[in-house]
Amino acid sequence: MSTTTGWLFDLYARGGAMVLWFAAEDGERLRLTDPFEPRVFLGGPAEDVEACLRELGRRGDAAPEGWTERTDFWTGRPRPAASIRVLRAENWTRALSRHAERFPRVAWYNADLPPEQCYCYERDVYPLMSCRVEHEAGRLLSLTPEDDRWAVDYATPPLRTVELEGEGSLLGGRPRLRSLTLSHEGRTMTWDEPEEMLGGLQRALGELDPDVILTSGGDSFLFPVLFALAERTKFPFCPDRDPPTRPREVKTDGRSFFSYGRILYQAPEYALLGRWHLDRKNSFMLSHDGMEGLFEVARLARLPVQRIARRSIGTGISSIQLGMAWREGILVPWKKTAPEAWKSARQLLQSDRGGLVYAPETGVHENVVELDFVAMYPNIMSRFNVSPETVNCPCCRNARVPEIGYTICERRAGLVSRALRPIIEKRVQYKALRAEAARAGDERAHARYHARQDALKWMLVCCFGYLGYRNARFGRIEAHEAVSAWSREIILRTREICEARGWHMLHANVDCVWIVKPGFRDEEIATLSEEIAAGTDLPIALEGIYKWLAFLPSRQVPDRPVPTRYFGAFRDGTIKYRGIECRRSDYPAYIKAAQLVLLEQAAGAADAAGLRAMVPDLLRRVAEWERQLREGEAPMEELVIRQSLSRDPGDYTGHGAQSLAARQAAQAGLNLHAGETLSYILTSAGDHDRSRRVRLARLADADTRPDPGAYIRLLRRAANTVLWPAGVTLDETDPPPRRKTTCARKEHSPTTGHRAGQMDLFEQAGP
Amino acid sequence: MPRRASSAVLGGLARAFLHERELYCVDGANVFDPYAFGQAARMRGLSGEHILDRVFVTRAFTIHQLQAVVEEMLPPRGGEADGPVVAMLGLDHLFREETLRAAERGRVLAEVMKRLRGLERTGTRLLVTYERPPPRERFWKPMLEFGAVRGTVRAGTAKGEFIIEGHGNGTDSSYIQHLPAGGDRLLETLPPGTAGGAEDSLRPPVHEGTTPLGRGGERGPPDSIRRDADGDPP
Ligand SMILES: [Zn+2]
Repeated sequence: MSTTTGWLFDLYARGGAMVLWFAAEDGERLRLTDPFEPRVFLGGPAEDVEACLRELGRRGDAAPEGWTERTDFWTGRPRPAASIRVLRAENWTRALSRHAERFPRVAWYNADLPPEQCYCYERDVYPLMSCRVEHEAGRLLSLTPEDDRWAVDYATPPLRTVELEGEGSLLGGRPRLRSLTLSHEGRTMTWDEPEEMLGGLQRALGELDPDVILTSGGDSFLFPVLFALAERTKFPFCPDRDPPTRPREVKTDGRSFFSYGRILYQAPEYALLGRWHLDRKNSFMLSHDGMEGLFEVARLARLPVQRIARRSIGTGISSIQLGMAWREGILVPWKKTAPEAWKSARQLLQSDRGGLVYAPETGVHENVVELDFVAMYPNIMSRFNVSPETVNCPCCRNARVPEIGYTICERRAGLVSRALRPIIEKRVQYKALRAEAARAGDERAHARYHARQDALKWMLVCCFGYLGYRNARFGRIEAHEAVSAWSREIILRTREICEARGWHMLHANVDCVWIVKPGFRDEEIATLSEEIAAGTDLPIALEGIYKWLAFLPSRQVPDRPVPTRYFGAFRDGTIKYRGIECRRSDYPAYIKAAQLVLLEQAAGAADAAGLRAMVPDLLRRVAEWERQLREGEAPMEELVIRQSLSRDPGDYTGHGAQSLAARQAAQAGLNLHAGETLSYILTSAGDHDRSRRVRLARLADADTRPDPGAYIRLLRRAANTVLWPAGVTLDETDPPPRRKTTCARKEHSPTTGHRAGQMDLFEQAGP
Repeated sequence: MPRRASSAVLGGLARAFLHERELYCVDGANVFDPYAFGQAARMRGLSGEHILDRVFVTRAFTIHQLQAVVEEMLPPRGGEADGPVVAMLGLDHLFREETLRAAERGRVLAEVMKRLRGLERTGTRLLVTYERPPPRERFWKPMLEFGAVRGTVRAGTAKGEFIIEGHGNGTDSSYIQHLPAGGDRLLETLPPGTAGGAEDSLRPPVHEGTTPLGRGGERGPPDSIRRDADGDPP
């Protein structure tokens, strides 16, 4: 028997056991097995359950363990359930569907959880847990944790990471790879000949024995191409540490799915065994919060790193809730979520609303205070006990939810509420640690705590969406509505408190308020915040005090205020902006950078008058960028417009730039899907031949020229946003793309609309 | 089902139930729109308030929820003799979900239709709307067999008791509606593409402040992190 200390690195089910990989402190990588059969429960009419149990046993899918008692999720009452052990975890999904169809009256609980999750819940372990293991002949004998999932200061294993890049294409259904590069600690190996690639890579992997293979596009492109190449050349390619028991299915087509109303494209998955393949392009977590964020979520959610890397963040919060239910003996129904209770059209109108928004007073305001509720929705769920099973529970009657009068259970603390509390608290701790690191000038610690708190923020944010999300296990529309109703009530109460103290509310948007008060003293803000926190039972924090802040009107209807379109400068000179061009993903980098420069310069102004005084300077800059655009000096890659496809390319019909580019992609045979990004350049915006108006970035060649006029219009549009508070508007309609030009300049007041005036831009702003 | 067309169906339903009768909608496509009812009410010179308390809805977001509604919540109010009418809106929608296993959705659809037939036999008045499914998909058979009236229809009763209007966008999405008493209530069938005016007639221009239901406009999906503009500016 030997003892090893280290971290649980990876786990997966194989043949009635879990395979566990440990990253030992001394650098060794240890593969151990632990016999494990996931437990599932059955309920419903006893005779159906008994018949189903017999069938499960007869087919060898599961071993019955007998009847027991567990807690019903919806009522909180005990209910009898038959327990079974799944014998062949790899085949369970199939078997489950078959049995569920054959015995439709049987209710299944915890039935569709991946075995790795069940193992972690049951053994109380989690990926990246630091622990001591005793083992013999490759078998795990005991595992002693030396870690706490809720700890904020934990060590992570030092990992050997390689970066794999490949150049080639998937065009025309025949995958091609021109070159393959593996980098490790500053050294690179490149293979250019297809016959060398697989052998070279396999050898390098054997020698380096990396823990992590990092790619950008490994799931959608590189690994499918490598596997296809291996198939073609009959090369036994195996990037895993532990060879798979059956050959991989090579897929190049993923699927598109909706998430928060935006289509995302999910590439196929190439997760490895005993080694991680992490694809930056197929990982929200990794691309947003790096390895630190990924580790934090994997630990909390008890999900294998490669899985959480590829799943939406909602999977993480779901898994935390599932783990909690699992350990408390609460039965989690499979596929059965409660339908919505009847409500009248009147009730629907009252309840089916989002957060409260007070339209902003458009214009430039000075000395504006912004107060934000801290994690408002998660805090409402946690503090007011909002959870699917606590809203309109069968046991209580209290009409506690404001406006819509739903009941909240007084007897039980809800699962979602309880799951959220420690996450909220942990995030507060990380933010404090981050601030401490900033004070101490410790950049690495600052980055670490920032990534971890950010990962938790995403979990908290998406928890509210999941309450209303149709496929969420712990979703329920009434709980979703209850949270929104409370949020509206809280903003109403906040407004009353502010006004009672002499403040005027300029704008409120769901969980933030912008207020002003002539000649206020800074100390008043702390008092006000405390009063609001006491009056609403929710924490609120000062986001900052703006020197000046511009609430912009709608672009389409100039006198209509819109909630999230503003920019302003805080007292310390930092700028904050929402809903303007430089935050939009479909604006080219060049234009966004230009707008940002203008904003940064504007942030130097002390007040609205200072901002107006800056106009000639700002216009001078715009003129210089226009010259660059006209003379072709702007780098082409910064002019690329990237738009996410909302449909498959072939389904576009209009004549807008995006439609034209999408059709170009379809015609070129590019295998793009809804949710993937389309990159193109505006080449000849007004051309009668529509196919010449845009050019796909991937088809661009030496003859591709951006259309200066089109980009100047975009530039002016972005500039006009910054110039708006100063009452200046550049003509966006049709600047002729010639060298010497005059352009219209309109003057208007931010509140009274436009007054036209012509002037020569160069005369005004020239050097 | 497309929102534009569905609002016409809803408007038609509203007109039919402006009197004392109650209407229960099972919404499988997230298309229920209280404004459509309010506007239809206004056209008849009634207040939107009148109808708001007479129309009920439950929204299903998975086929299993839909099945639970049909099995556990219908008929509403225990199936009394002159009970309310039940409208199944966009019955097909959830069954089109691609990730569902074929055997599973087939079984659930069959069970839902069986239950609906049972309800109809015991006197529940049912109205079903769905988009025309692709031809030759055997899967939809139980639903198609249930439908009594097919095609793009404008239907109602001669006696004016019950009027349904509905149409697709004239090309690819006609509606099939199962009317309570069958085809004899069909007044006329409109050729594709001519139905546009009907919807407009149901949607008079909205002026702020005049809508009995408050602010007009389309509703978004409830599960998004939508931030509504409601409440008056300060
Ligand atoms: Zn209760």
